[in-house]
Amino acid sequence: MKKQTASVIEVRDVHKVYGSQQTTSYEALKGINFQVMAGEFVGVMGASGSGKTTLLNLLATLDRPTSGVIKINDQDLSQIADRQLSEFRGQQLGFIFQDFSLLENLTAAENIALPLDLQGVNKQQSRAQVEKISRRLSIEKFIDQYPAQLSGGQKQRVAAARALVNEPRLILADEPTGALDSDNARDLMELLTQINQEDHVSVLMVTHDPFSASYCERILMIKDGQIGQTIERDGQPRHDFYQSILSDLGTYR
Amino acid sequence: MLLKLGLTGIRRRLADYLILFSGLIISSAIFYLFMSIATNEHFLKQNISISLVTQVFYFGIVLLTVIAIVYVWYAQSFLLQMRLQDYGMLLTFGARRSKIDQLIMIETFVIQFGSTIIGIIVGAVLTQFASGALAKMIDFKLTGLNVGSVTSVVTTLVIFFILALFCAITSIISIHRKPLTQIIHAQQQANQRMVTTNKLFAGVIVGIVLLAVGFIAMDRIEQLRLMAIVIALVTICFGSYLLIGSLFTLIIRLLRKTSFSSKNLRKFTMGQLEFRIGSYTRILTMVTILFSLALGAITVGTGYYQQIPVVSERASAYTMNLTNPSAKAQKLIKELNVQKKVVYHQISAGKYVYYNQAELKQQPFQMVRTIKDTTSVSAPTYRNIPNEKLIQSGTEQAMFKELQDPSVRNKEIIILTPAKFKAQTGKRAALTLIRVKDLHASLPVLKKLAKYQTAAQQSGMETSNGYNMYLVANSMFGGLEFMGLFLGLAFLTMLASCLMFKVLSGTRADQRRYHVLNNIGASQRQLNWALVTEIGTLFIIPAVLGVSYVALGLRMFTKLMLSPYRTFGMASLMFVGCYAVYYVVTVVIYRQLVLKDTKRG
Repeated sequence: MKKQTASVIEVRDVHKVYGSQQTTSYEALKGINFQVMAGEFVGVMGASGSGKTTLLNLLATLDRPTSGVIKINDQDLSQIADRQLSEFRGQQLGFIFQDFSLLENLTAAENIALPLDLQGVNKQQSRAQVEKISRRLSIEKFIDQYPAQLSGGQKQRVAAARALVNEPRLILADEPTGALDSDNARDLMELLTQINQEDHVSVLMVTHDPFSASYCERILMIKDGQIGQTIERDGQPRHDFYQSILSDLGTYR
Repeated sequence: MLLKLGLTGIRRRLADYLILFSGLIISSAIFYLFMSIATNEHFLKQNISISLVTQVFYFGIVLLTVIAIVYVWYAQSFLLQMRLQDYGMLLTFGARRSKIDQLIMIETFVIQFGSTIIGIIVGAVLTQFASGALAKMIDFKLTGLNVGSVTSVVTTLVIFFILALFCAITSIISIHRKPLTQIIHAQQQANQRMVTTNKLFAGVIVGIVLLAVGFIAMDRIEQLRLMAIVIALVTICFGSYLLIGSLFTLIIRLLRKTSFSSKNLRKFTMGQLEFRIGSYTRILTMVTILFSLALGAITVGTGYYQQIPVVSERASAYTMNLTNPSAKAQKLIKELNVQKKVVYHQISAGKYVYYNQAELKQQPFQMVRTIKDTTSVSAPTYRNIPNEKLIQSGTEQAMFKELQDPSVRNKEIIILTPAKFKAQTGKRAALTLIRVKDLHASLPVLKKLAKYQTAAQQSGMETSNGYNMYLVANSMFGGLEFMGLFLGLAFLTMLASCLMFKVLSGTRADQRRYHVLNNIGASQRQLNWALVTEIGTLFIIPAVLGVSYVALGLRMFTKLMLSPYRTFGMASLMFVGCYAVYYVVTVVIYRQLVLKDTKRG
């Protein structure tokens, strides 16, 4: 169990420029600074083109910043060689995507076990971990089915199970409720909150849905490549926080 | 405007289009190459000494047309998967469906017809050089080759025109059937086709029975005649289809349950294969059949090639016989890698020709020992002929007389003691008999030396020595060999390109899958390995089946030629080598297309 004060994500003066000198370059991120503490549930909101996706790609180690420092679990990402990045992703991060990103030719159980297979975890242990997380997310019943046989909500639960199976300290979620109806969206957000609170897994979620964002403790508003504003929940009931996000969004735009 | 849209599509994805284009060029070039030979009856009749040759080539054309249809079909689906999203976008912007239809027509025709025309040019060049090189390689003289035959140009154009039209129409129909949303989010749905394990077992058993029937029929070719081929083709095709479809799925299904699968991306690869095999069964069956036909043709072709020197060496103990070779001829003989060289001095006077007893004793005249096993291809052994046999009439004497100069052949042979021989008067001459170690290797020198032979030998009227026998055998078998090699290589090129395209037409769906894998922490090494094994499996199945089919099918040829298995290993190796090149190319292209946005880690 980690100390609550330790930071899981530390982003210092991160810039990201696309294009080279010859072509017209475009600065997607213009000096971003923030921290996510262990066990925090942080949302990132912003309009399209604000730099949300760029930021998430940097955090997900899928891309490197032009300048600045990103640390995840106290490890400076720039110090990790390209070849080790995939291993780092596999061990330290869990991903949940808007489109679920399940592989349709593998059963739900096989999808969930994939990150463990990639790390060479043996079959017994892998099976035990899959069973454990499946019970935890109440998906045991359809674990042997193929994604095409599952509903959207079930698919996203399976995707969440895959993100959690290797017990990462940080979950990166990219519009996780984007493809779900409101009931399933509520379910998923409650699930994420529960995991966050009970297992002290930090969650960084990119969304532009105020409802989903209202489950967060803190929301970073990104505009034109910079963090314009931070909204803190400060123990408000979720419904009140939702209202304040809505009003903030109104003034912020 | 439409043309511009179509062409910008091409420019934007130049690399993809280059693959498509080159593939189509290969197919039309091979088709043309084949046509230009198959329709040249004059050429075939002159070069190949079996009466069925035109039928064999017509059969080849039918097969090649079938392959071309499948090939163009896959190429078209490769094109369609590239363009589908663009079409969807145009439709969303309000383009009428008829505009899209026109666009598809234009694109299909520009690509397919353009490549056909280039293909014909390439084909003509290939016909000239490839068949020339092939003929030279096997030391076979082709006559009447016609590179730019009008018939074959027209046939190729017509067939590929029909194919392009067919492709464009089916593409249009398939787009019309799809709702707009599906076109925009053109993403291949994995077809959930779950066959029960019992059915798979049944499939395996029926498949094996069908294959057994086919091979037994081929083994009984003497009784069944042409029916054997018909039965074998039908049963082996269906048998392979069932076997590939069921056995393979069964194996994967079992493997997936073992702990073997839970390492790296193995489970993913198996999942890919299990889901793919449904749409791959047909093409894998086709490739298997063609693979075995092509390999069979090459094996038999090279078999005949190997047979030629064997037949020649068995015909006579001596490769060449010269009477009184000139200084130039002597020089040429020195260049040869000679296994045995004997010189018998002779004196001809009146009705007699005299030989020196001492010479014949020192280097006895030899003949090839006849062997009982007619299928053996071992090097011949020789027996010495005692002098008495040379003065009695019989095969031995006839053999010896044949090697003499025609002017002395009718004279009676008399063997004298050295003293008497020395004293004998008459016309003196020296009969030189040579046996080379390796007929193939010695050919260039032997050809020059042949000019010093007698007129009858030079005109091919006499086949008393090994070299002349070689010339006869080569003209007999060379055509068959040329045909075997030619058919084999043409089929190989087509089938491997076919498989390559089928594999490449699946890149779109895989792009997303590999991207997801990369996100959840699969390393480039793991991704590469998954890709290499997946495509490898798809390539290996037809190769393994094809090689075993040929191994079984060659039994049929034991009745038609000397030990057909002798060249099987070599031919398989060569063939698999060429095939492997296709595999590597496919993997490289596939990796480019699929892994291009998974660069990190």
